[in-house]
Amino acid sequence: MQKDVMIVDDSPAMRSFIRRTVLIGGLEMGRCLEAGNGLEALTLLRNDTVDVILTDFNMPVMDGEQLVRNLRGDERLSRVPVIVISTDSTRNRILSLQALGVHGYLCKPFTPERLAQMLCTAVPDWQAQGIEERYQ
Amino acid sequence: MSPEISVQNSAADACLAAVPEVLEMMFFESMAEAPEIGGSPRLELLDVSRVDFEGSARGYLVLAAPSALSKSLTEAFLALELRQSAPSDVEFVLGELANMVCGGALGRYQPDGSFRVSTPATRLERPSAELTTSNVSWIRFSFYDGPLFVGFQPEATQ
Amino acid sequence: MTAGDSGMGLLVVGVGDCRHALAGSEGLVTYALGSCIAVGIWDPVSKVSGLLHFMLPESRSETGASAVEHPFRYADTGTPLLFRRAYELGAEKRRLQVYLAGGASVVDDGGFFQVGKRNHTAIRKLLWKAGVLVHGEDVGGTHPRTVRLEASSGSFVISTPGKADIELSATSSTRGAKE
Repeated sequence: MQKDVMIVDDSPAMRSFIRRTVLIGGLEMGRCLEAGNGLEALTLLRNDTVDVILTDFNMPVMDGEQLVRNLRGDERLSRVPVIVISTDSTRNRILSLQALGVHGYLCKPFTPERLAQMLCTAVPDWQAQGIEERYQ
Repeated sequence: MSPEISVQNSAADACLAAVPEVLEMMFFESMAEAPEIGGSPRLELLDVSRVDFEGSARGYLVLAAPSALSKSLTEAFLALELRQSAPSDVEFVLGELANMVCGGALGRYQPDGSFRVSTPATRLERPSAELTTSNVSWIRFSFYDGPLFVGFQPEATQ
Repeated sequence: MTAGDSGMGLLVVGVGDCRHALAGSEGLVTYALGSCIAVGIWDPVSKVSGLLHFMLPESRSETGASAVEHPFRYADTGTPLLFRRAYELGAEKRRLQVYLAGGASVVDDGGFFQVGKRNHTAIRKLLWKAGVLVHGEDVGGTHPRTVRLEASSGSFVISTPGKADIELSATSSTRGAKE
């Protein structure tokens, strides 16, 4: 089952790493939208939607927290699962993001396998079939 | 320093823990020798990246690597074949490396702290003066494709 | 590397060796994993499995004919052959489950040259560049390991003296590295 993904990060290198992880992680990716900050992401989503959003926290123009607040306040986008990927491992940050209701928080550095696992958890029907049925 | 936000590890210890973790997990590199504290790398010969941070501590992290290591790390991170990386790739990857090492070090330096980290500034070979200072406490991490010099300079805010 | 085996009994993979098993066979086993790493692969549809037991990360550090004559001693030469042979026997890359075991720090490593850790980062880099994620791993520590890859189920069972077996399998584990 294909899913559309949005990756939000001001680092093109990190966007590439995340994109590759999704591609090789055995999860069928439909479209992959990319944005360099929260404002760009919201602009892209103005007339569109995706199945999951992976966002950095520290970004210029609009950071991840503000992006999530905007998404939660938009009835059309409020249910899209959001995974925050950030270098910030301080307790304050983790608590604030949990309070915002993000579906997952992944601290950098992370293994690509961990990200793939988190995506399966955030989007449970992305890999609902058993492994043998998946390839019949 | 705010009495509620204490330093849990020294800057050096935080850095010593953060660098190998980041390099092993996302750049698939392991160290060739034990790290060395001290020294003065010749920055004019190296690729340099710096991130600044503020919040419960203020300061910066700077890292420097020879071109061979920068390219090797870039090729690993972006899954490129040998000699396929462009200078812009190296710039972005080194910046992300500095960003991740800084985050890892800050999380160990002040686990209860609160920070904002700047967008990395990177210069490939012949770094400009504004990226470095003369009083950096360097740690040298030796990898198989070259050394990585890291200077983590936090100052607790009043 | 021999042709795939579909006979009875576990096929033994030696140090610096690589073997494959077909549907109907019992599977593959390798012993005495210290700083070496075992790479196990299994296709749930064709039931083709493969097991590589390599000793060192790179062949370029070796001189002479060693790397050519003994490609399975090294991650960089052995791993492509492990996968290529599996494809020849009917496995498909997108279906393969991949497991790692070993990479321990051994007493006579000497100094800081941690072969086990270097082997682990080397194989992870190779797999990442090849577009393959690791579905489970048991690496590090200081203890020796024995690994058994069961051909019918794809179970990757790691045994260590004095400890309970660790089983990694396609049906029981979610995709991702064991942490």
